[in-house]
Amino acid sequence: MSWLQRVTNVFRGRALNADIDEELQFHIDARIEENLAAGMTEADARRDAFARFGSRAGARERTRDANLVMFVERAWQDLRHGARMFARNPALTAICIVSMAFGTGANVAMFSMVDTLLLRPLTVPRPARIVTVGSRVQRGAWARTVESYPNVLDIRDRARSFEALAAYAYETVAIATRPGDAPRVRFGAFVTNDFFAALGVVPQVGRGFLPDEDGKGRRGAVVVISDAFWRGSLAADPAVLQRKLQIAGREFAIVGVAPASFKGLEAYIPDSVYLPIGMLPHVATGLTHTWADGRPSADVLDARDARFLTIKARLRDGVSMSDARAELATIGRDLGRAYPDADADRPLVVETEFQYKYEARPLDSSLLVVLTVLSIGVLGVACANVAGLLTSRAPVRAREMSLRLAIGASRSRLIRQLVTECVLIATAGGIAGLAVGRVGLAVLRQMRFPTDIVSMPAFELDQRALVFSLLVAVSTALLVGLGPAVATTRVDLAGSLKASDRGSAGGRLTARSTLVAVQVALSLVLLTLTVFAVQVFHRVLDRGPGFRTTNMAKLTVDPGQAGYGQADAARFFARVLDDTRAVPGVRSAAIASAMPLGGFVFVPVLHEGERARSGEPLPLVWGSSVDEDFFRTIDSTLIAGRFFTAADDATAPRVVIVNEALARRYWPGLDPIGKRVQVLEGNGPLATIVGVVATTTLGYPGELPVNGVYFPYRQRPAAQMVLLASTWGESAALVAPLQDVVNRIDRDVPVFDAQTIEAFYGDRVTGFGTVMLRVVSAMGLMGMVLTMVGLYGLVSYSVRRRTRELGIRIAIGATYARIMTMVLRQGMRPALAGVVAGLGLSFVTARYMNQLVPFAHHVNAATYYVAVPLLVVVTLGAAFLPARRAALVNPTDALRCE
Amino acid sequence: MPKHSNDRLQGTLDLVVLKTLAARGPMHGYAIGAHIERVSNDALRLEEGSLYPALHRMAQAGWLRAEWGQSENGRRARYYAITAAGRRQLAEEEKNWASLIGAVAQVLRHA
Repeated sequence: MSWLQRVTNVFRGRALNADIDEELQFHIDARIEENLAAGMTEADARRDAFARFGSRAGARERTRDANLVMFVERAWQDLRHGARMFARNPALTAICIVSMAFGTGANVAMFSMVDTLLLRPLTVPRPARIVTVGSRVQRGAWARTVESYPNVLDIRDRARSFEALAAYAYETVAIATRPGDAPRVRFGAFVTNDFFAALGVVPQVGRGFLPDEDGKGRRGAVVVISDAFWRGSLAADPAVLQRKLQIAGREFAIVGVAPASFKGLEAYIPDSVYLPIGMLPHVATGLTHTWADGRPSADVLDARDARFLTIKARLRDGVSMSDARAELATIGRDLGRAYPDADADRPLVVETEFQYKYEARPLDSSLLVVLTVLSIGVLGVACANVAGLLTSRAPVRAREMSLRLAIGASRSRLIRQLVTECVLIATAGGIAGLAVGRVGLAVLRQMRFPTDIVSMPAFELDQRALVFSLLVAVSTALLVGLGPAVATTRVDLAGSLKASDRGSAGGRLTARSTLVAVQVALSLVLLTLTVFAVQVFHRVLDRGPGFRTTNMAKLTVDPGQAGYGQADAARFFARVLDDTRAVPGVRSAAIASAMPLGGFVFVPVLHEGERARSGEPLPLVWGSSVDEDFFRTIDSTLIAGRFFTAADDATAPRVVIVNEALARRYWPGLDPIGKRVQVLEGNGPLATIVGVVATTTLGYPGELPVNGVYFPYRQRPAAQMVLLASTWGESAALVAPLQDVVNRIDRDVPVFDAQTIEAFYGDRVTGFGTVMLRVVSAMGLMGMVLTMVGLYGLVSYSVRRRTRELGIRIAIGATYARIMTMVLRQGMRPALAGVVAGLGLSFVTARYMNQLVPFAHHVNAATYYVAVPLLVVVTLGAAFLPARRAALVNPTDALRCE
Repeated sequence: MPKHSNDRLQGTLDLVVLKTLAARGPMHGYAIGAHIERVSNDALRLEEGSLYPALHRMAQAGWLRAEWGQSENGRRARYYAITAAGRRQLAEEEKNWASLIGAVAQVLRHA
């Protein structure tokens, strides 16, 4: 029986029983036939056959046991033997387990992150059939797959590939659980009315939305809350369906609670409320935009080109992705023909959930890719260690193997033994790796978003991570161990039973040297990236973001959510600013619709006279509406022209201030003051540039310079504004007073994200950067340590082999220094080869990573000037001890022992 | 070699089965039993049910290879063939058996 058959027999259960029955039946039937041929009657023949056979049930049981028992017995024997072997070599075992622990630990931590952010399936029934549909819309550095409401309806009517379709968009809404309570701002999802039914989510209490709850008239003031909201904000009130919520100042009746198993559609928004899409114009007020072209909310559901909804559709049974893609492509073309202004050249795509998640936040995804590549590098170094150690043990095992072969063991049995040992190490390493992974996750969990309304999902070592860890450990162990295992058992019986086999030793040395070279190469890549991370981190912190990072407090205020219109909001903010300036200790106060490092907010801006080409993405520029005190408050540097004044109001000619990056990009070498730009949104497209400010960090620390434009608040108002107040004293002392100022003017206006600028910058830059630095350095360090161990092992091994030769050399007069240099030179040869290979690998990796996460700084010569010598010194250090041992060999001992 | 902790008799069955298959090539269980009976002139009568646990055990140990095949009358039957490891085992068992016989003979002669 083949080995595979034997294993599968253990699991075949019922099939095995059937086989055995068939075999036994054959025997009995054969006996009956023979009896009949011998002349017995039918009855006698049967009786005789059964009698001679004995108990059939007993035979079947014992036969079944024979299969099972042997397998279990053997497996147990293999395990015990393996454990004994390892106990006899504690150093080797320890190194193997620690190496595997580092390798799997790094990967488990990364997997946890990647799984939580990208891989976990949606918490709806049969999530594999859910796809995202829409057209790709450029938003600055990345693209989203979204559609407009009229298009959503058309797609829903026309597409046959989907059995159900739901669309949603997240907007900030202010929610109060009791009238008169201060409202809290969080993300709410505006969804198509059959959202829950379409996704197969059955509310645990109440119902979803009815088709006529469409926002017209009084209908539609209903809300379905998530389980987390119910438990968190309503204390799991059993009378929840009688409760009402104040959302943006209006009363909404709770009609349903989503089931606990449904965790929403966005990992970063854990507990939200769901509102009918028809309520969007009434709630997410006319002054709050999330789409690039600044459409006032009142029109947003009717405009075919206002693309802001994400569509999730369930594929019909039997329909494949390519079928759906083909059908949607056709529908896209049809819509393009029917509505050329909005839909021409806007192909519809169908994406899997993974694709959608990956592209929704490309910077995060790129970062994940980078970290995953690094952790695979660490695993590579760890595997090289284990492989090297197993290879060097081969001659010792070979003797044992030959003995066992000589007394009759089968080769497959021996290989199974060695593989079992590998699996033992792997399991121990995998479990130890979980401990390493836990430490890694503890570091990663310190990443925070400096905001109340969105939170970093929790990274846990859950069941999936456990399975992943064991899988990685076992498969790498098998990969690494199988080669040496097969080689070890392919022994020349006579040769290896004789005294020390010299023949293949040279081959083993080459193998180990190659492995060390590989380790050094990988280590250099890890080290280069570590040094680079340190460089970027320090440069970012030294240079600073270009705006004030101390002694300032901020607060986001949203009067739109309290029902304020444009004029009212302007008056409101004027009052807020006056009152803020009256607070003791305030040096200056200002408002801005978007803060630097506060997220990407894009505005389409063109040269004067430039025409937007249809089908091509609009040039998007970071944009913020600010008042006249903004630049002074955040300590901006004026490079040319002037700041805004109170005179730049709605009646005055349209003006803008741009940053240096935009000036350089749009008018390289020229003075941009006086030039005009077209702002493709709302009213009054052309605006004159009156000032240029220094470029500040706008998106993420270390970024390439981002084009930015600033508008006077009075010419481009927004409802949700960030209130900034700089102070001569402690910024922490200002946070509560700012909230008080707003509350005293109007309690119903929601405020959120109140913090000092130190906390904001700390979380956004320092905190995040520190975490990244720690993670990358940890991997660099692990790689280096593992390589040191590998090199130490290699040099020790070659010294041991050459003991006799060294003894002779010393006996005939070689000096300590001479031996040292000889051994070191031999040991460093693979290391230096590794450095050279590593340099090449680093160049390639650095270029690839720069594409993924573009930084303003590049891996440069300075990086290598640090990384390479560091690695060389470290490897020299690793080779030093065994070299010293070689030089101190006692010649008489060396020549005696054999 | 991992041996069943059982006694000599079970070993005898193994020896006999291995020898049969070594001498006559692949056979199914019934044929093996019939052959043993015939060659020993019916002196060795197996409890036929105990043949199959033994065959499966030897297959698990790697001494036999088992395959489904077609019997002479066209039915599906499980055929057993001896392996290289099985031949080694057979040699050892034969040696053991010979020395056992020799030892017993010695005792009987000189006791």
